Amino acid sequence: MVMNTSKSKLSREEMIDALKKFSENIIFVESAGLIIRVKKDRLREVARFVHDVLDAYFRTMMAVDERPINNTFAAYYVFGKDELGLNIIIETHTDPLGPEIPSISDLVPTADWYELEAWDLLGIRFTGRKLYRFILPDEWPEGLYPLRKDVDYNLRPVIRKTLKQPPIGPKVPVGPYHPALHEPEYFELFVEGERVVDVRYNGFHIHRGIEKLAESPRFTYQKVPFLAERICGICGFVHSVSYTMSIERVAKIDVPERAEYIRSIILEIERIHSHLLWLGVACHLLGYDAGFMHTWRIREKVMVLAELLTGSRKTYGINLVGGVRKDINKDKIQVAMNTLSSVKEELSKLVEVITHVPQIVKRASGTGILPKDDARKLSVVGPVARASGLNRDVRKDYPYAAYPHVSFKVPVYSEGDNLARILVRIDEVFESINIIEQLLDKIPQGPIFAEKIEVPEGKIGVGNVEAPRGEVIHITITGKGRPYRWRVRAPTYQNIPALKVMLKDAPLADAPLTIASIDPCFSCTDRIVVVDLKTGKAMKKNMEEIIRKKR
Amino acid sequence: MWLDISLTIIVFLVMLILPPLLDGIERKIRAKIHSRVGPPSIMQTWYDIRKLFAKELVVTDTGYTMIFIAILLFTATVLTLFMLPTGYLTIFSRDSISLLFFSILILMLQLIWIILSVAPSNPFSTIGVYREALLGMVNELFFTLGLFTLMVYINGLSFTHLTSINYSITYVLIIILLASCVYVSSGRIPFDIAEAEPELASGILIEFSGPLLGVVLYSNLVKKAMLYGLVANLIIIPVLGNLNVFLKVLLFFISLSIIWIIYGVISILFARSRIDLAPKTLFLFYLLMMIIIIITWLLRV
Repeated sequence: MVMNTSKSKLSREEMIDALKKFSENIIFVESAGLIIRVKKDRLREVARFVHDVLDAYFRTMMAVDERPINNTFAAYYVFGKDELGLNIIIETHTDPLGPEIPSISDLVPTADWYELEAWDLLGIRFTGRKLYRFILPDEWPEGLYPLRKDVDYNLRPVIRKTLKQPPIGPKVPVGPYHPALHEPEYFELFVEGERVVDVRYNGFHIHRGIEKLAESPRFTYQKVPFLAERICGICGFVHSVSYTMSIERVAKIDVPERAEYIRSIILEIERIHSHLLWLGVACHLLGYDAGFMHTWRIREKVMVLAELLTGSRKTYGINLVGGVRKDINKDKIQVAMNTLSSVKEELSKLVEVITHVPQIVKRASGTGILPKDDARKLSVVGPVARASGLNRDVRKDYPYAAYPHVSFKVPVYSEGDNLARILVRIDEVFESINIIEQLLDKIPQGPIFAEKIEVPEGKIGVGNVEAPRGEVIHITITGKGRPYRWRVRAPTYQNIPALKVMLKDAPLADAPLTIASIDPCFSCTDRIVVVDLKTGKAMKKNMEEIIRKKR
Repeated sequence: MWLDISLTIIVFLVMLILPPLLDGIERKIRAKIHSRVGPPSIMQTWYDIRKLFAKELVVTDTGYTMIFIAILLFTATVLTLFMLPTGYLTIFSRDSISLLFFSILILMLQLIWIILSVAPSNPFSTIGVYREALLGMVNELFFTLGLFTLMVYINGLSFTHLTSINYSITYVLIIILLASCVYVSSGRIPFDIAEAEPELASGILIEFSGPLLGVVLYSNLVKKAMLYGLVANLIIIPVLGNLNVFLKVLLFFISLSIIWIIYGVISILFARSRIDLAPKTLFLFYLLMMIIIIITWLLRV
């Protein structure tokens, strides 16, 4: 596949002209980007053109049951053109009976998971590829697609019996519960001696269906930020901001500048504590527990700061569509400045030590390599992309909140190995401290919540935030009082497929570090399905109940 | 005679009690360096072992083999302990081939450890034992060579020959070589690659639980104490001369404790190595040490 780089430098107008050969139905929507509506039989052509010729990367795809609106199923493929800060959205529709769309996963490898997910949850068949169950558990009944509008959000289906035996053979199972992994995930590492020759990933053990939940009558536009913040136990605020941004863009809400500053400050605090958490875990994986403990000791100061500014160490609950609920006063600004100064000083010393421990340097260098070409092809995001030489950062490419008002560098390394990913995150911590200091210094006076909030129906909005793990992107189609469809894409979703490249031919000993190097964030244990294989009965329980029962 | 027998029994009992306590002290020191509180008391390792023994014995498909080998490991550890001098030469360590016998037993313990790890057919323990064996091929080779060099240097096969040795550069280098081998044998970071908890979910120990794990962990602590005790003896026996036996024993336990803590602190400074790196690094280091020892010996310095 030859990439035409000259064409990739087209201006926005030239790009619209070039796209017109595929469809005349092109519109620019301020809240989302350039939307090109094509017939499904031309989808592959356009996707190839956008991905290969325009050199736009695949950001996300949202499949929607639009039968109540226009009697079709729709798919929105979002590509990002970083240089222009522009989303190119390819919209296509298919018939409601036996919905089929041609697969683009051979042209755009990143689309693979998105298609499988749309098949699982909406029953859209992607032709020209193999489809299999991906997100839903094996016990979920065939032919029941939970994201369809005619499926009630609180449906408890009768489960089907499966007696699937765990695979056997010359494999090393890593997960679903493994000391190196923070959450349930399962990798099968095919090994020859101590060398990994192939990798198979099996995830989505506890898919929670929050997108469906947000469409339910229990939620309103202003309640969803609290749900969104619970997507992640480390960086939930990014989801909350990303969602509110998508709505605010659709509704053209004038968010007060002070609220944007406060959001940016909290987003950067979240990045610092997330990166420090990760750095500690990386040290632990490499057997350097002194680094682990001291990193977390320093991180604790950041957690206390988060509590001072928001009232909570985590899951702050201060964000709403239209602004924030909690202000920052002068005293808090002073305390924040002092804390950041102390964190910077202590972390500089610690980093100096960590980066000179011979085993860390030796084991992280040249392992888990993700070459730049693969990184581009797989549309990886965040520190993973930046460690592989891609200068990709939503804060710069698609500016939002108060980021246009501050100056900062985006650390980029070309090596693509585990060490590069460590160094990117370390540099980012210092950049985040620098950003917060600027924001605290310049924070304007004024209100923290918008005066008028009216959300029109049937509009599409895209919100994106540069989370610690990479870009988070939320697409929302507005409905009556609540989202009609809310699509969440976390950075790990984009980065996991790259692990296949990173782990192949690498030493087995480095596999946990390499897996951790993408800073994976898997679904958390909000509600899970426990299936008794003997009786075939499913129980919906929360974690406390299960723990109690085990006692 | 009675003094000898009583002292041998007393030091033997102390050597059985002391290792978990030293481990507890190490854990407290490590916690201090990490800026955390650590275990509530230095007795914590003993409490952990007691708790393991209070748990039910879970026997898997390969469980009976594991029980048999674990008992063998414990018995061999206790037997080896009899051969170890404690600054003062006990009845058994005074034997004409005590050093040779101790060397064979301690190397055999390493072999039993490997056999123990092979017993459960778990992919993680298989990888762990592969790592242990590969690392052992280098470390145990030079440990054996080091002990052999020591025997030639002291011109005898017994610990008694250490009493007539004068400190020289060659002797110090032999101690450094053996101390390095001992460090690696005791499975400390960066050489804990066979267990490597975050990588292999405890590797060689993955299938052990309850009393069986208690036996294995306790035997391992006693083995550690014997290895460090060997280094302590090499350092103090040549200089103790005709000192009171009780003082000799006291000095031995002080030296053993210091060595244990020094090793513990060293291990905090490093991260874990990798199986393709560690044997190469060790091989080069040991080879260099052996060459230097031979040169200094030939130069009689």
